[in-house]
Amino acid sequence: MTGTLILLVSATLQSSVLPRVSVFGVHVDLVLVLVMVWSVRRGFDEATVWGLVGGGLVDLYSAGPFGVNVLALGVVAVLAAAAGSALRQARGLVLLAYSPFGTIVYELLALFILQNLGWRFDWPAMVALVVLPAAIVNTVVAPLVYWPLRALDERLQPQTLLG
Amino acid sequence: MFTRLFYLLVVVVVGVTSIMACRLAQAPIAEIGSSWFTGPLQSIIGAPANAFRDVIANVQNIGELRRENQRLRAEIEQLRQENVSLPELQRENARLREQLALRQALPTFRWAEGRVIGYDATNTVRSIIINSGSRDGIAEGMMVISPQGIVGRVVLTSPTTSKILLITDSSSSVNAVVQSSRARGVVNGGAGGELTMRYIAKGEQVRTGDRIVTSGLGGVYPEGLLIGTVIDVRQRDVDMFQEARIEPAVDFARLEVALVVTNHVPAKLD
Repeated sequence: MTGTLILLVSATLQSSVLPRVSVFGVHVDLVLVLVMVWSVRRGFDEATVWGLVGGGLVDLYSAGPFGVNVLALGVVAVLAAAAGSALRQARGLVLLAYSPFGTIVYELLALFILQNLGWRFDWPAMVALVVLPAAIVNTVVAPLVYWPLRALDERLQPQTLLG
Repeated sequence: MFTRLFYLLVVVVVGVTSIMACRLAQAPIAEIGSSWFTGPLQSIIGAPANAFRDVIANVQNIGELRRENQRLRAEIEQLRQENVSLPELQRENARLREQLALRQALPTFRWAEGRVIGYDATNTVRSIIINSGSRDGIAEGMMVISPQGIVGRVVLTSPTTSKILLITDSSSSVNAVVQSSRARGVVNGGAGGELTMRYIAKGEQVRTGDRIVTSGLGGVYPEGLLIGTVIDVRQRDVDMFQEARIEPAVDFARLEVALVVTNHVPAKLD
């Protein structure tokens, strides 16, 4: 329940407050960053749940078809868990390296799904004006999110935040 | 007994003598006594007595001063609150005047008003969420306007909210015409939230500052609604068409209220 509440509050902030704070023309994907951090630390089981729940909440606050972010965030979460389990001793560095990669995968996957559902995009412009700036912004924010979630993770071990 | 009578006699004699002396003497003894003795004595004692009297009066006034202080503080607080709400009332007044002007300009339209409560949570889709929905008569596909110009169209509704895809979204297309030259084209949203008018025939006249309005083609938006203003025209010899960058008439970052037109049903062309 606590995890769902964290994701719900983050999704609400991402829709109501964060769009007013624009850096390089994009706003922080707070839910994405949270999912990446928790997935790196907690592994596949929780990554899957966080990715699906987080993606569903983002979809509720988006005009795109429901399921786009469920799929995109779910994939990114699983990949993050894989990276975290491969390098357990250096999860902070893993997150730092994974953040830009995870953001790019997430944004491109979402665009790909939307295009297949009939939406149109100028891909070069999207990559230059949305995908790359979002990767930079999310990478900068990821360490700020990592420390409190790491503290929460260490307090909770081995309990989960969902269910 | 004899002693008491003696003292009584002394008192009477002295008293009568004093009276007779005052009445017969040239100088008024009482006045001389008061000016040389009792007057100064009263002045010496009177000053602190006056001060003491002032202290007493101030202590009695404290309660009254405290009450007046509280009354004045409450009045200041009320005026401060009125001051805070005054700009909001002025803005609301200006907004309602704009809506009135819009109603006079578009008398056949009916709309449901919705306040912007959120934006799209993703960076890839440009939309807003308003606090009016199906129970306010809003349905998917309805166009959304503001007194400044067109905003977009409704893509999803719930009983209490609606999601509106903005015209600045990448997948948005609006059939448009240059107001002055009647050159036709299509206005598309872009990755950075910009508007571009494409497919303008090469011989057509498009200049910076020209107003772009809806053409009515396609049936989604009726003709004549303001989209924006031309800020740049791109034309290359190798291209078949001209392109113009458009500054949207609506400032979407500051949009607070959107109007969903409920009596214009978009035509379905499939």
